[in-house]
Amino acid sequence: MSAANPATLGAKRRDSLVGIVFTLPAILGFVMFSVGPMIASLVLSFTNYSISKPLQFIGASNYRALLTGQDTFFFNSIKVTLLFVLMNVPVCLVTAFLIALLLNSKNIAGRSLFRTIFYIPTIIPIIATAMIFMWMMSPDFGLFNALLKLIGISPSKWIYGEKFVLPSLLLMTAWCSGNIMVVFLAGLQGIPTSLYEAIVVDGGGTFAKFRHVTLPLMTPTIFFNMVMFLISSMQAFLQAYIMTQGGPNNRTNFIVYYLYRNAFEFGDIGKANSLGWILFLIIVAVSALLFWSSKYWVYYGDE
Amino acid sequence: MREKKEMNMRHKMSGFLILAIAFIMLFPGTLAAQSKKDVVTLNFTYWGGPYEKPTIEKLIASFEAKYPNIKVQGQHIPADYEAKMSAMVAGNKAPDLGYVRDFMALDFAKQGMLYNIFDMIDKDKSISRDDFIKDFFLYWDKDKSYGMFTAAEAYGLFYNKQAFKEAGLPNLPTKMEDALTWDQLIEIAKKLTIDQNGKNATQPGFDRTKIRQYGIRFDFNQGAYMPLVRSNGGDYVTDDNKFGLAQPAALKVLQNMADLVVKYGVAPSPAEAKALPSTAVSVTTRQSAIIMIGQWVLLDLAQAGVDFGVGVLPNFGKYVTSPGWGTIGIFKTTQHPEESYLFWKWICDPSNSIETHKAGLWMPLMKKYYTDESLVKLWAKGNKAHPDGYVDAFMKPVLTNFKVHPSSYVKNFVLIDALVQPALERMYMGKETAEQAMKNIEPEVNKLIDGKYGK
Repeated sequence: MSAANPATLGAKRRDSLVGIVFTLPAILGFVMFSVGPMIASLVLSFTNYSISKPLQFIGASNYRALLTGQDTFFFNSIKVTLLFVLMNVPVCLVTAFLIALLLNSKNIAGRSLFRTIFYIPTIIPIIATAMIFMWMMSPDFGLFNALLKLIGISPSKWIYGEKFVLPSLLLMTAWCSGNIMVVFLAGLQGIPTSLYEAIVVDGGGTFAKFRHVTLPLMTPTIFFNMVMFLISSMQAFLQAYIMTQGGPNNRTNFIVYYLYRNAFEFGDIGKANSLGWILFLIIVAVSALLFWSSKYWVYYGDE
Repeated sequence: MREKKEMNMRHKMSGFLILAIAFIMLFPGTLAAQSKKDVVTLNFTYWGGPYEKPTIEKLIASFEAKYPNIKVQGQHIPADYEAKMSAMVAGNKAPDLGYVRDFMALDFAKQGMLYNIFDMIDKDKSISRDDFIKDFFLYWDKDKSYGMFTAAEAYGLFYNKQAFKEAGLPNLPTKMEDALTWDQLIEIAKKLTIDQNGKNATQPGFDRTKIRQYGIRFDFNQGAYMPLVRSNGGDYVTDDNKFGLAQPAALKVLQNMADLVVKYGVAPSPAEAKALPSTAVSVTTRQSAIIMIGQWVLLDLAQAGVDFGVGVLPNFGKYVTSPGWGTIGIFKTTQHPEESYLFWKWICDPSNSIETHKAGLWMPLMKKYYTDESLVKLWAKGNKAHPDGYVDAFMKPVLTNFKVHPSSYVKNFVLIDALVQPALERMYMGKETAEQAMKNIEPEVNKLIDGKYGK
């Protein structure tokens, strides 16, 4: 059976043609709504594009102004974004993982009810969540401060205090991390019970089960969640936009929020685009680092 | 013969049919073409709360009734107006005319994107520039103005009368010459600041961490501090292009305001204020006894039915009040400048929206509504939104002691204010004094200072 058989070749060609036709909507969508705008944004990042002034190419001036510290807010916005990511990713992943473990355990009554309860926050629109958290975090008559008072702890300023604003936002994000939890739960259910039985046969307890079966088999899921959540945390915007307006004292002036301010408040769309590209490169670099590290700690069964 | 006649008939019939078809096909076309020529549609964008929206809708309806050949498509944009406006202008979809924030409009106007309203007024025989209060025009260059505020909305003091009675305090002065000094204001604010045990800030045992009623509340943007800074002879950017807020005249006022929050605890800090309801509501619920803000709150106070009084701002030397910063501009991209101008004039004529003026939201743009007693009565007197003293405390200062906010004349205002605002936050948190806060940002601000518009 040589591949030169013209009939098979024609059939192959037809097959790939059909394949392309079927994927065309996705390809077109990707080109029109992702690649196209990305190219446009890259070009614009080298211009002084603003709504009211004629467009001029200004070379790498936008990047230079940002990276050399001429821009007063840029380094701070990088700093607060990274701080937020460094708090957010570990805390939310660990919380979601622990909850998933609990919800996977067979000894819990009303398991499906709890699963629903922990997933509900993810379904609620983030705007509604943000508004409710703003009320609960009100320093004077918020629910959280009332609870603190009840147990005798002095009240906090929550999102209105410079020191507390990032942890407060973290609290809200952790509350909404049901989607991570669901992925963990799916991963846990994919672990074959025979492996746990093997541990029991070898005389291992609960911890050994976790240490030698659950954790290693979950590393691909942990890795996936980590990459996805890291990217979404780097792109934090809504919290700053709705709850804090970048304050207090620029402590939540996240990169994407600062990008938005540049474009729509300061009218400097060229600079906003270059900010977008800097963030893109940071995310690419961090993701690459994670992928490189994955070969040391992520366990794929067939290796 | 007969056959011929029939043939003729048939010819005639088909000729008639062809005509009919042609007529049917062409008629709607000609009709449509005609109506397109006659009716002009204007796009008008605006913001505003639940009261302003129906006001504008009424203005549009009455305008369309007067000019049947002009249709106005009002587009209400309740939030994020600047972002939406930027996107529309960038996408070549700018409205024919619309509300624009002053700092944005000045930039547009300088780039030749807005009409010079003086060119249009001067061509119009029915009105003249002098019909309006001169200070309401916003100038991007000498003798070049893109228009006026949507309405005047002067700053002053508003207070809960019951709170004053309980504290045994007399009403606030309503005449400029009787305006409170800062020290007097501090004393009054102390007596009006009450903790949860009912003690006020002058009494021993007063707990400033558990406040039920703040003595005074103000916004932290240019609105509240600038009239006072101007009153003390200061400015945002000085005439010789220095950072005005870092000069002694402004520093004194800023430090005084910070003291109310940090030193005396009689006014809410930015964090505390965020947790309070809106400024007008907090007077109604007595979470603040006095508020220092623009006169648009009259509407809310009157509708809430609270017993409130008005007073003049404190005075540091020469009394100053200021307007809001919402303005209207006509875009050069409009296909219908004349019709747009007609609608602009319609909005600016208080007689078309006297109800909105009477309700307390707007102050008239036309001079005669301030000077002609019969017209003053139409809005500023004898209704629940305009209590006794209003004419002295708000209306008269607009004629004589009026200065617009820096966003209406300082170039690069948004960029400078992005530095000023966090600095003020640090000051109100007590982390820095006014002098430290302003001097720290001064080198950065100096790079952005580019003079003033209209000079």
